[in-house]
Amino acid sequence: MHNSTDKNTHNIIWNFPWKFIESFCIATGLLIIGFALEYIHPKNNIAILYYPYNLFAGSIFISILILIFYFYRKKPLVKWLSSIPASISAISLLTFLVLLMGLTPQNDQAVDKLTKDLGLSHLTSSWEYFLASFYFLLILGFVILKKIFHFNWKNTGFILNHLGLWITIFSASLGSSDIINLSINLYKGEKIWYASDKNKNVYKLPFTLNLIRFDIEEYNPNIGIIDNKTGMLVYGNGKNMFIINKEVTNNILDWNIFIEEYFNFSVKINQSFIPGNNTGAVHSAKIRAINTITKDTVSGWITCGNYIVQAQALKLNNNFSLVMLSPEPKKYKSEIVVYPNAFESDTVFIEVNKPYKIKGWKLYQSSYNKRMGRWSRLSVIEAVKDPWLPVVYFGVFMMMAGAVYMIWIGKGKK
Amino acid sequence: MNWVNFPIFALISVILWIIGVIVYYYPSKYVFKDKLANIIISLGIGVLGIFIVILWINLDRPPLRTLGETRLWYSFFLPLVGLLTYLRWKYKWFISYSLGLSILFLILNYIHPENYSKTLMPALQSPWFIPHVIVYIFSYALLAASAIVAVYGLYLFHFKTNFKINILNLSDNMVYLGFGFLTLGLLFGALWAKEAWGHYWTWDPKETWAFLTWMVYLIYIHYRKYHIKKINGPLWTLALAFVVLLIAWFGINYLPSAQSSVHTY
Ligand code: HEM
Repeated sequence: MHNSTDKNTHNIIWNFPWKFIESFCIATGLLIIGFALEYIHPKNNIAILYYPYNLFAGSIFISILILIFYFYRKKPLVKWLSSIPASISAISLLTFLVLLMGLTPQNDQAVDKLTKDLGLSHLTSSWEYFLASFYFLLILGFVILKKIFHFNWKNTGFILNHLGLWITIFSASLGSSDIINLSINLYKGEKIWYASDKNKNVYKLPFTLNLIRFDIEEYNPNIGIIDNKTGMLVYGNGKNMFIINKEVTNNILDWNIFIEEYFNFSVKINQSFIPGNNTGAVHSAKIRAINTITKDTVSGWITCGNYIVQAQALKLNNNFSLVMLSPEPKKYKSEIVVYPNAFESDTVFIEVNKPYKIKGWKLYQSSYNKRMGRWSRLSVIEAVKDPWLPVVYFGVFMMMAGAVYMIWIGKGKK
Repeated sequence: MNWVNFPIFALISVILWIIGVIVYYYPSKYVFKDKLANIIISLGIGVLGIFIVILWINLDRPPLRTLGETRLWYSFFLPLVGLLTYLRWKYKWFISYSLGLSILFLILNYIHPENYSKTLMPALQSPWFIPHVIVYIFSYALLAASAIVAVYGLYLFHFKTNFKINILNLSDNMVYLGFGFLTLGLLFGALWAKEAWGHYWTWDPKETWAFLTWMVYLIYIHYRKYHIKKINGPLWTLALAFVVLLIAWFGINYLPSAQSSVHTY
């Protein structure tokens, strides 16, 4: 043991200091134990720790780590726990499981029985993943303690990266059970103070919402050609479609296509369209198409239709027709009056990428009545509560600082 | 359509870059030779930058959605990284390499402009989009360079006798820079996902593979630190890491596990 620093004297397995062979044996052992446990007694069936029990468990874990390190840091086993071979075995074990996750659909219904029984189709809630994460946090914890114990300003980058990662993974894992994710269906003009989770359990919210307006801005629709027999779009890697733009002429297959008129909001009168803003107004366009070979010309109105107006195509010849596709949404936005209590109210806008914060909840614009499109009277809002988020972000910001440090210093001096 | 002007801008940039590289390598003792080359190359980058700005204004959204537009940023940032890396770390071959790759992307765009798609779905309309993509582009450029060094190193190691450990030190530095950017890309992506979808990490297949890539580079970094003298192992790890990166980047759309990904466009 006295000359344990000399790598050449080490060749008998399980003699300290442990190196790669021992480390990988332990990681593989954990993997096998994880699979076996999952097979016999799936982790899914075991109660998860909610607040405050996850906080207790986390605190105990940290305390044990610190105590073991403080009292036994000279012992070869503890030295191994903070060594690079142990680290690489822990990183590799987790990498291997993430690789399996990347190759297996994460859906119990989509895989065969053995894959499911081994937990591979719900990896993040399996025993093997739990053990791998535990091993990872244990080793990384000792690695950090060792560096903090011999603290030196030169290790700033090291601490930012390693402690940041540890805090992020630790708090994200422990806190995941406390995340609440609810869906709120808002109908125009109705006051709503309840929401439901994905199992349709209903919860009371600590605030009330009233949808005033729901707005969708749409892109101009695409125009494409369909095969009359199959009704399918004729694809040429998506190049047989173009977005309506009156300024330009487009060619699809052998046709030159001119947009003579285009209305964003229009109503149908007889066989043509006029601008109009009533509920149920549709996109419509008057098209002239000229065949470049035969010089045949056809013209007429087309519309993508909606829940009231039927779609209308323009027949080019016996084989093909020109159609307008349903427009893609550019933006959707809810104007909502929020009542945090009986005496106050506030008008707010919630939009994709622009959530609204209230009483520890974040409200996200999530969906609407897709069939009615921009005339939807329903706006679906997702309410998320993630009490551990500040801790996770603390770790994330440490890692960002660590990353910037790495870019600036590079590998540094030997 | 502003892509119509693309060939002119691209051609000017390419010519400036070629002149710049010739000046770098021109055997002359003129003191300001390298400075001159830096300026010429910067001008080339500037011309492409102007094109991007015009395109951006014309499309009325950041040109960061289609593959063609992504390639355009790639060909803009590759020379920029090349130049900055050169200014800081003095890798002359690296700037030539990054210019070459950039020209390749410009040519690809000339052949397949893919300019027909003008829409950007709401989730992508975020201030996070540009930094997220840009740091990934930085990172991929550096990690691609490190992979080339690795392959070159393997060639020297197995078929020639003049392998020097210096070559690994060179790739190490790139891995450190590239890994720093990779970390930023991953974390920006997480912060963005929180704003757009309500959770920062959902193990979506694209996220899974991005994380996997990150982990493999982590293994490389630590393995290198432990076995400073080993050559073959680290070189293979580095080459393999880039394969994982490529799967995360392109291959993901073809994996059966990824059919439900929110990231497949
Ligand atoms: C954000 C992720 C990480 C980054 C950026 C990172 C980066 C680094 C760097 C650059 C070094 C060399 C430091 C130096 O030369 O002073 C290092 C050392 C080390 N890392 Fe990491 N690492 C990360 C994650 C991990 C993880 C997950 C583990 C373990 C499970 C780990 C264990 C170690 C160990 C044991 C050392 C050697 C410390 C020593 O004895 O000097 N690292 N890491």
